[in-house]
Amino acid sequence: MSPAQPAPSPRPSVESPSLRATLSRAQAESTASLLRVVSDPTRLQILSLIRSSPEGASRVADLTRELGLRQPTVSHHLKVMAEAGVLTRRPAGREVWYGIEPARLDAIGDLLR
Amino acid sequence: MTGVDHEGLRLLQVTCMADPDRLRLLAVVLTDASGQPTASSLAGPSGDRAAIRAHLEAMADAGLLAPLPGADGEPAFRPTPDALVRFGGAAISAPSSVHPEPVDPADHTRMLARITHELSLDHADTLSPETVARFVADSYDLLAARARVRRHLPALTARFAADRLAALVAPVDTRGETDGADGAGAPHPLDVLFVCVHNAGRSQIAAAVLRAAAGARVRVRTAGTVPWSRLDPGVRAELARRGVDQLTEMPRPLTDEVIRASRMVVTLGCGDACPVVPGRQYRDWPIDNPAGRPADEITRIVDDITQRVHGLLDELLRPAG
Repeated sequence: MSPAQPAPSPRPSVESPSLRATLSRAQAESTASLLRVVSDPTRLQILSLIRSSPEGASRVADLTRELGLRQPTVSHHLKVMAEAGVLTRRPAGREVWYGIEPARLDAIGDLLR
Repeated sequence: MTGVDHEGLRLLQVTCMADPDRLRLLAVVLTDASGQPTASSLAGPSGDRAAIRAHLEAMADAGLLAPLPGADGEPAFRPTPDALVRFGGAAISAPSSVHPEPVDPADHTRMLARITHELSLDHADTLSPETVARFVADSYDLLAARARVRRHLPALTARFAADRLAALVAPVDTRGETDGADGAGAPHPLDVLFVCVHNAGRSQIAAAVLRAAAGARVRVRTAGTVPWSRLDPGVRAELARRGVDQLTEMPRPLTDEVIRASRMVVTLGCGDACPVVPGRQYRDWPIDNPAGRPADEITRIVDDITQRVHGLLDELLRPAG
């Protein structure tokens, strides 16, 4: 092979792609844990309902009615997602409105396509 | 596809990608020079091939990678449009060993810096980081000029730029020698380029059919002279019915280096707009534009293209002389 010709299959000798992939395991955990929180059919449904609601936010009673699930079940899912930073809580009088955390809106929207 | 299937697949994908190794692996696959890496090519000499293969197969089961049969029995894996749109941004923005802090996927400047770094490592032997950065910026600008949805641009840019850089450094093969005649290891796949006007119908049909039929023996690229921002929905539905919709890609513009890297250029209804580079083989298939047509007409067009693609593959694989 003449030196002027580029190598046919350039691969870095210093660091293979797999090595880059493994080394970063601990740090990539944060993105993965977000996905883990929403990898549940009911939670995906809740996110979908909140996202398509006219106000962009829903109350437990709204979701309970639409999902046909018991209120404690829905409340539990909302609590987990709020604690994980997926949902925001906005108390208004005696009710609490749940919305999607604005910084997560695009990522959640892509997942719900 | 029914609603239940769609939701089931979505859940499967989210569950599958809730794994840091798979997110990082997807980022590597998106910037892979071949566009269709194998577990062996990703593992390199020191990596854990079996573990990588298991991750790739899990992602294929979730419809995020499309497996292609390889010449030596080892499948190659292409990222699907779902993978790009749903998880591409998350994968690229996830922290890596070199960049321990996550970046905001909406910060395109920093996302492009990540992509440039990743591609520079892949091309460390052949291209300067400045050249890689220039191609990444140019690819982004070309896609941004027509994009309707901005947030997918970094992931689309990663795939487009990786493809263009691979074309830039590919040994130009105009004599039909495809078996690594200079003794440089793995056989160089046949490069075929399909070009139509919008890269949303005809060229995507041809590419999906050829990828399914030829597997990793052929490297198929597509482009449009005036690309749309997404596939024609009718074409996508027909390809889904035939099980090959995951072998399409997001529409992209025609660029000089991919023409130069291709041994065979097939134009579908845009022959006049495709520059002719000496030494390449050209075919022009006069096929109606399927965009917006009734389903039965789209079926007929896909049948027509399928027949032509199989004829082309026979011709390409026929021993010379």
